[in-house]
Amino acid sequence: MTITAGLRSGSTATTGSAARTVDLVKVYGSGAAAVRALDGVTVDFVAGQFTAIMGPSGSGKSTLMHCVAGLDTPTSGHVFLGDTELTRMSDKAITLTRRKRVGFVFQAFNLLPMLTAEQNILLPLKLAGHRPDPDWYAAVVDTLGLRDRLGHRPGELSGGQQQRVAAARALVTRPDVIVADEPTGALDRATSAELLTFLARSVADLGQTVVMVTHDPMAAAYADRVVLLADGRLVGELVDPTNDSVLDAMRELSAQGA
Amino acid sequence: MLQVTLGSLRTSTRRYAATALAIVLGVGFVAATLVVSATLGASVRARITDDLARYAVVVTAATDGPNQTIPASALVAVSGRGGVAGVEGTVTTHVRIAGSAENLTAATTWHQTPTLRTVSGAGPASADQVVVSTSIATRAGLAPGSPITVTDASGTDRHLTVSGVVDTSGSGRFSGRGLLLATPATMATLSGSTGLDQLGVVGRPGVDDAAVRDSVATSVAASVAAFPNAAPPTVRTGADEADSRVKDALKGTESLTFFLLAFAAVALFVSALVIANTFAILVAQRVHQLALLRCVGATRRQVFGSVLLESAAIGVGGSAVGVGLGIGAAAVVSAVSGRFDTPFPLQQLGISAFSIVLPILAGTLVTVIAALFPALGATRVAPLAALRSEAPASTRTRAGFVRLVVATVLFVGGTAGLVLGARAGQLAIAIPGGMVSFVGVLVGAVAVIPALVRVVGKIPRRLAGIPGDLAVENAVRKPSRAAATSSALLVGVTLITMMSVAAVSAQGAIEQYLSARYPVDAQVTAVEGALTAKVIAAVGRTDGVARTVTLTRADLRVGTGGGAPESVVGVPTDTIGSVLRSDAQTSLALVRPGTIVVAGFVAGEHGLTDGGRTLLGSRPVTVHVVEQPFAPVMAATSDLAAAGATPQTGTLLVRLSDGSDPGPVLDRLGVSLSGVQGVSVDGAAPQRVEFQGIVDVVLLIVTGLLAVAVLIALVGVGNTLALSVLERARESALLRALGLTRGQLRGSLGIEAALLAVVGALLGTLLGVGYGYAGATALLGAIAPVPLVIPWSRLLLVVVIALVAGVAAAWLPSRRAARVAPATALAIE
Repeated sequence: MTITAGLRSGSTATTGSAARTVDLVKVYGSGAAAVRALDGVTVDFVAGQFTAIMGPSGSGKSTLMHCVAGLDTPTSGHVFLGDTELTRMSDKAITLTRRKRVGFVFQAFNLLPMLTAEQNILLPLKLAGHRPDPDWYAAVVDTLGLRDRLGHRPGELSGGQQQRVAAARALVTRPDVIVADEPTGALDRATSAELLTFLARSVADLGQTVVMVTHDPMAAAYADRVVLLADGRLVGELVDPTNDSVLDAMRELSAQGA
Repeated sequence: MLQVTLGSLRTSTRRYAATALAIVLGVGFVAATLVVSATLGASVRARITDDLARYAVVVTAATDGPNQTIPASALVAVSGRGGVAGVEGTVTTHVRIAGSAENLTAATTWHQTPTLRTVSGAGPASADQVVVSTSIATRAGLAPGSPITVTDASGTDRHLTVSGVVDTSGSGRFSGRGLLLATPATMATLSGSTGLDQLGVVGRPGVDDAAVRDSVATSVAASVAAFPNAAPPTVRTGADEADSRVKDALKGTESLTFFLLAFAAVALFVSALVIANTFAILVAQRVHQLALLRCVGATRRQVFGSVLLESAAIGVGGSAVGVGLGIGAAAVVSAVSGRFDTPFPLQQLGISAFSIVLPILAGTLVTVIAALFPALGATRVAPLAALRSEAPASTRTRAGFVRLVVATVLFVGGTAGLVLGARAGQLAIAIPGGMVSFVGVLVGAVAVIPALVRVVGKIPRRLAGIPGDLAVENAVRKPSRAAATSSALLVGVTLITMMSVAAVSAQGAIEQYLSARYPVDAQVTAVEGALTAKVIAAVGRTDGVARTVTLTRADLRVGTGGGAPESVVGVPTDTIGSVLRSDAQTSLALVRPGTIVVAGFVAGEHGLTDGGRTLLGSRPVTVHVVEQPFAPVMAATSDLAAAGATPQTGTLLVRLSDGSDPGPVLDRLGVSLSGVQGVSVDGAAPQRVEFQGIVDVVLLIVTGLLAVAVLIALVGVGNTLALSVLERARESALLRALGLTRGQLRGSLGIEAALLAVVGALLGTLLGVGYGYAGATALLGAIAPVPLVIPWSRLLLVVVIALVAGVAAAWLPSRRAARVAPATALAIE
């Protein structure tokens, strides 16, 4: 199953990879109820790139992201963060690696309601026992326009502001990879565009690596590269995607699925 | 709607487990109390019935009136009546048995009865033989064949022989006490009268008890009529007499039942707090579900009914289990205490319908009432809430202004009443004052507890870093929940502390009073001259005696006006301090060479004034007037000789070794001094120790009873935490994703529980100390100054237990929370 138009098979990275998986399998349940959410996925996320993972509902895109970020343990296969193999680590070691090297932006429930925006942003650093780099922190806060919102609690922020706080939190540790799971899912179009622009800029200007799961072709168009998933398998990828090329690829996928 | 209720009961069994546990414990307490008291009643009834079972008719002497005894002639007259097979006359008096520290021992007429089990020997065959109970035999070292010296009411010593030893534990009348039994002739000698206080009439087979009663009554009335002023005895059938005695005997147990039920009520109250809290959380968790119900057409009333029905179902179920548990506990208590000879017999388990129905009703009612407010909260859920993806975050409800004002007014007003009552020595003002002030604390808990959590939370914040910060923030996130959780513990801890401080402070006050009143552990007196140097040496050698000091005595004129000589007690001023308990407050310590101590009335007779100079015999001395001195006139021993008298040996003062049990020591003294003429051994030491023992036992029982309330409160802490963990599953997952390790998450939840527990325990300890001291002062302030005695180690233990139990309560929920993989929890919608 290969999608031809505008596709490049394989993912031999010219630069180093921030994260990669080898033959990743994740099975939920057992016996007759067993579901193969991931069925042998081998993929490379290139450092300094903005990669989007796309696919229809149930294609395993969230599971892939969870495994890459060390939030979930695969049934078999390997996950590497840089040169470190997560799949060989204890839960504690994974946790410590995660808080040093991975930043998260989720669709919702991103922030702890009892902490202020500033406390939320600095939480991963505090957990790791590090002091924030004041210049970097100021740059992140100002870029995201959160300066006058730092003392507010999440309940007092709009949805867009909450997601920007989450993005700031992901950036403040300067992680090896930022993982975003449907970050614009709960946002309106204008706010979405703002957040995506910022994620793209953090890759282009700040040299960060972003992996984003989305089902919105508009969002995927902001990425440098789109990885397509269906039924737990990698079915292709697009480089320098546009709204149209993504839509075409998706249409083709659903046509094949049907 | 019923279907929905049943469904949610089925699916959330685990969430209800802790609620049910709180009900089970509270109701179990109530049921156990009722069953124990019914058991007590049944056992008392059984013993009394056994005592009287052989008698068709019982004639009992009047309990008031000028001449209360039944004349001996009545016994003869009754014996001759038709239908009477035999009559057993009984008289009961009190005697003193040498070698037993018990001041007065009951002595009664011997009859062969099944309730007095012969342990060794046999009944008295002649007038010089007696039978003693096992307790007397043990204390005075008696066995069949032993000689025994019995001092009767007139003070005459009788030298008799022990013929047997009986176990009195089966008797309703004599169990748990020392007893001496003798033949009718000997009893007449010991009581100094031929009168009797009970006639037990054994009927002939086949004759109706009532007929015998009427016949006996006529005959008794005729005999009594011969004596002027005689109070008529009551004549009842054996069964009627048993009923009447059971009624009298159970008067005491009723107050015991109320006492226990008061603690059961505390346990139920704490259960109610826990239940209300649980339901509030359950409703909060089911906001979506409830909103969905509203969306598909359920009315507010139906939602309300559904939640209440759920609570009723849990109330009935938990209560039923609780009753089972309570009956089991009562059975265990009965089985254990049945092995000892206690004044509260527990032999047959008495389970009435009342003791099953009442606890179930109480438990169900408490559960439903506790669920009322949460159910009302459920009706306020808007249908739209079903459509919102998440509950509005950061719902910080601040304590209402009105609530704070009410709490402050109650607390300040109540405390003022308490202080006023304590100062005036009025329990009737102090108790309501204390209760009002505590209600004030509970009402204000919403503001007070979170504030305290923040203060105490500074410690984990500093020591535990982020998990500490999270714990503090989570603990105070819902002030009402934090308040309810801590309050449940607060109630139990306050009561325990209050009881401890009150008891220990009261004990201190009473001990000071006793020490001042009875400065000497024991004193030995005898006929003048009988206490020879040899006897005094023998006392000094007795095991358990630490020191002895001999007082002297001489007859000397006091004052300058002549008059009859006074009996002056000589105090060896150089050694007297070594036998005194409390030298500052006793008149014995005021005697100095050159200073005499006289009682107020003696001073009045001789015209002496405090601080004035007078003559003791020929010696000039200073007078010290004391209201109630140890003896009316006291002077230094050296002054007696200097005044020209020849001092005789007087009372021997004895200081017992600390840590020795004074009862047996005095028993030994009695045995070793039994040959000395007119000897008597008296002492406040056994009373002092007995009193301490009572305080300790009461404190232990009360603490044990309140521990049930504390246990329920701890279940509540665990429950609140378990439910908040469920509620915060996504938050925990997010924290884990951001790098919180499993250990840190567990630690954070543990700290949160510990904070709530410790704040409740600390506040409770603080309040308890105040209430306890005020209560003790109100009760005893008029008799003696009440020292504030704080049982530090006990209080520390309470706080430490609360801390440890709080952490333990968090153990299961925190493990569950930490086990979940972050991705799984994030996926929950």
